[in-house]
Amino acid sequence: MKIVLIEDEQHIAEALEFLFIQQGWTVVCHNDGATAAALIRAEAPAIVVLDIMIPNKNGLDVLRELREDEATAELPVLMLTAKGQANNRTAAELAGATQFMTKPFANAVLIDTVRTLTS
Amino acid sequence: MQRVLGPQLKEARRRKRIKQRDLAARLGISAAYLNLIEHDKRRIAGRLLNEIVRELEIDRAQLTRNTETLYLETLQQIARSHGGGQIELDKLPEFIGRNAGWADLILTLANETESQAAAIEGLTEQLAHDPVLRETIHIILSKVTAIRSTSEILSDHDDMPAETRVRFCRNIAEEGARLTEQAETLLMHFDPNAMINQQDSAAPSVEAGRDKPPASWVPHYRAELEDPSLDLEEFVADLHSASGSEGDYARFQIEAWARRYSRVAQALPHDDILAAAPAHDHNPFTLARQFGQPVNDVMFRLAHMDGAQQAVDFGLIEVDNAGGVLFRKEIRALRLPTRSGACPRWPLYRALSQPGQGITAGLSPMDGTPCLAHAFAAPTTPYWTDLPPTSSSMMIYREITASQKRLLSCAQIDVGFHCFVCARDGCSDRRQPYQSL
Repeated sequence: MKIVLIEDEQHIAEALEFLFIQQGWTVVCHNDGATAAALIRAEAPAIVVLDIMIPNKNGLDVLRELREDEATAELPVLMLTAKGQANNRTAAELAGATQFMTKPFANAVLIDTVRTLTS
Repeated sequence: MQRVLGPQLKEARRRKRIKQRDLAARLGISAAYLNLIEHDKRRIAGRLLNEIVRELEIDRAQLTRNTETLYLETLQQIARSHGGGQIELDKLPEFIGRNAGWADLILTLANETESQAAAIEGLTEQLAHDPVLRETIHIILSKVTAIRSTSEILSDHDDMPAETRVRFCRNIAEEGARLTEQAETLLMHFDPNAMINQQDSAAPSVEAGRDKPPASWVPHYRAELEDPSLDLEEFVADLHSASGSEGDYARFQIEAWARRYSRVAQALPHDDILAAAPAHDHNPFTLARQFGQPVNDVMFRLAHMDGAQQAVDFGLIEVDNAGGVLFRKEIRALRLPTRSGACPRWPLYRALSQPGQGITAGLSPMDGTPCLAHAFAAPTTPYWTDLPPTSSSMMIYREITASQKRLLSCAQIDVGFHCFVCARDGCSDRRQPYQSL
């Protein structure tokens, strides 16, 4: 299974990449919002793990771009954010997030969630 | 029946046009003590109460009836606002009559609850609109996420390559260091002066709490101070008492402000400035010229206008030669330091290098509303033959809305609050290379 991880915090990305590889999954890491949607379309992953606060274009706009494209309209997207306020959760749901997870999280919960969304 | 007695005594004294200090002298007590009694902050009974009643020619029976009525009404109001349906309101008169002490305690606790609720509401509002706090919390949560995920991996995977283990350990160490920086940023945000003084060992230590202005006291327009016949001493005592601070320094601050306000109000009457200011776009320099008054007084006046009449709300800060804060009135658009050391780009500090020459500039705070600021420094010492004078500098500032952009046709300055917490990259005026958010 291929995962695209869009996360600009390098140490979080390194940890999640390690975790996903441990599960036997293929991981493509990326840290730029402006080119994220194009990369996702090109990689055609099974799921996207997408941070909201990323440079050049925020995760919500990237998600909207994906949902407007027929090829990625139904792609599972797990949104990650350090801002757990209700308005962020609502914004993510409105933009078309499949699920929303607030940082910090337990690794096991993240893995279980990815599994559930791709099963 | 103590909690509602004081205001009745105060009202009776005012009706008889007796000054607080005069009545205090007749009673053989200090004016400050009488002030506390009038604000129900000191209990009285027996001889002293009898003497006050006699001096003010109050009907003692009527005083008791008034007190009981006020008590009853206040407790009924408290009961209704806390689900009065369950409370036997009809038994309240009997309850008060039989349990005056308990009723007094309920009233005290209700007042404290109301005051704390107001404080919490203010803090909640502040937190919700605070960009620095929001950003710092976001960064802290990111750092915690990196540390938690990485440490869980180290704990759960004994068989990882040594190189990976070393890299993850290094990552945790780096994130831990950044987390510490952010924690300091947060502390700095809530108590900038504590951090500044911690860094500056030469800063004088001040007895905790005494140097702070009273938290509940905010300088603003006061109709009483516009009246030249006001008893300033009594007004200051009332305000000091209402501020909740009993320290001498707080009283000194309030008194200095009130005396200045009163003097400025006589020289620059509120309604005259209200009428003239719009034609000047509220520019203190041209207003000072028209009224023939010192620029700093005009600035002070503009920052103390009735908000119901003047649409423009000005913040104000005044500092001495060393940047120490002498006076401050904060508005939301730009935070002000409580003691010293704000952004060196502020016109407030630039004005110190050119006393007597006004500066007008647009301010662009990060994550904030654009402001228009006017600054002016004036000598504070008499003429010296061998030294330049010391000066104080004052700056007033106002928010600029989209429809008021024409007022920003002056110099524009990108500013922050304090170098320690400033997230502006590449600032040539940054005092120290503190962390960027």
